[in-house]
Amino acid sequence: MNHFLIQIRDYIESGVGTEHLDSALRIAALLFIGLPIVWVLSRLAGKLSRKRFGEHLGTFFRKGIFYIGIVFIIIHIMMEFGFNPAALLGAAGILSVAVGFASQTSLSNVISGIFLYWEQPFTVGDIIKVGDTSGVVLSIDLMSVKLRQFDNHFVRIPNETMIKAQVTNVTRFPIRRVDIDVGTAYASDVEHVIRVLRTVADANPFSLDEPNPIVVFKGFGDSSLNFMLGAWCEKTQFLDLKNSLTRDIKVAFDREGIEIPFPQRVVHMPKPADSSHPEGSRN
Amino acid sequence: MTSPKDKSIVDARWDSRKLKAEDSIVWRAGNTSIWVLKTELDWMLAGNTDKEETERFLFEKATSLPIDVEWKRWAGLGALSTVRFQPAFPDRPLVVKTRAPVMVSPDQSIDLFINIPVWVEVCLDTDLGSTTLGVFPTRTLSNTWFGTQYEGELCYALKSLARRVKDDLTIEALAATCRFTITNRFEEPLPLDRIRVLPRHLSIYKSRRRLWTSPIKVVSHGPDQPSQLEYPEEPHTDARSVVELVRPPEEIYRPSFFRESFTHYTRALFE
Repeated sequence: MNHFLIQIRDYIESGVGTEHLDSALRIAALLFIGLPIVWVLSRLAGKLSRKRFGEHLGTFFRKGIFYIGIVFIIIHIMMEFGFNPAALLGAAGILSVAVGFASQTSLSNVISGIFLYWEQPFTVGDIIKVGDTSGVVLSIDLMSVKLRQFDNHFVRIPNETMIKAQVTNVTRFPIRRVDIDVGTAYASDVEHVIRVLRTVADANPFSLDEPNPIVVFKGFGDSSLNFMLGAWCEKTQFLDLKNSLTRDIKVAFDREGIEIPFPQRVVHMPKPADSSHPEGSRN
Repeated sequence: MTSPKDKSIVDARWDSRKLKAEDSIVWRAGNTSIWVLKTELDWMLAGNTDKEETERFLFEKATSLPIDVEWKRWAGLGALSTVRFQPAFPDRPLVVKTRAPVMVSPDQSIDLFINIPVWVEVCLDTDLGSTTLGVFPTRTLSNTWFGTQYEGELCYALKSLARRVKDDLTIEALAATCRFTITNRFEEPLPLDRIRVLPRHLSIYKSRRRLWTSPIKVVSHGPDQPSQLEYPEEPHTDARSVVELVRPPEEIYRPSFFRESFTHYTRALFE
């Protein structure tokens, strides 16, 4: 026992022990003080930037500050263990070139993600359409955008695709227009049809009085006169208006005796040759 | 103490009843019917909007209760309860048009009178306090948008027009009359075609014949300047009989909270 205590005393007196103790304390401080500070700072930055710049820039700042802080702490801990950061960064440079070549797509996604953060063509909660895919934006991450489709499918779209493709933000503006195409028989009175369509839109509680609903006589179809009714609604009432308006048009047309035609084709049959005078028997 | 027979039609409509267990009442006006039932332990409430509007007002013991309407049940609201029917404003701002665009000359004030529809709020006053059981719309109001296609506010559109003379407004059972005063402090005439009313800043008063709101005062300093709005906390001076406060404003208007409350044609008209 005495021998063990003497060894400890020699170790401390030699100065090496004090140095190791200092290192241990610094590592402990980095882990137990530095990490919570990074966490708090990232949350604070996220909260402030979310208020000022919106949801997804808030997330960007929060995650960015958190990861930078973590890298800073890891480098310092490694330095305490005697690693040379210059050598480490050099190695990281060489490694990043190698990794960069191997992960061009991923890097492209990350850079596209940064552009998406700054440009903000949509935010979390918006309904967007990318090609044939449409859904509600669940998250905008560095690598991809996650959507929830209306049939509850989860879709992950790489950020590179989002930058290259045409993205339609359906809910960017507070009001939307529901366009309904309808055809009537050629015998219909055009003015009467326009009046009925306008009345239908005016009577619908989801249709906004202003901007005014529009009725367009689009022209002459194969079997019908074609009209378009465009009624505005608040964006959350789009489906309510669409459903009720289509039903109301059918009811109003039935009531007013306006016929909705189905495609028709008039076939002219050639008159058959007279069978009582077969060819060659006239004489 | 006023006996039920002496009550004015307005007092009779916006009244309260004490209910014992198994008592039920029906309240009916316009095309709105509301039933309240007190069971041994709970309260039940249902409302319905009919397509047909009734002329007759009803506030009496219910002889039968409907089963094809949606009932809501409340529990733990205390004993010794009084159910109270009071007017409430719609939950969104309202936009009302003038019959034709009105030009307000410089340094002039004009008054416009509007009938603002009221909804029915059913409250329960118990020994534990007051609880709102439900608010029922008395008519279906169409939606309208106040603003541009990029930003603005969803409002209700009033089909009845703003009138220059109070007597041109019909007295509606389920509407409160509002006086809207606008003063033009700009050097050019001010065109006025639509007014947005924020009912949450208005009080409701009742006289013997109709409901009134507190007045709205607007001072315009031109199309590029925000209008100054004022919602005075005072009863309506147009009421001939004694007025009584029925409902204070839901939110006191803060003067710093400038908003445009009417639309102009375009700036080009002023240039």
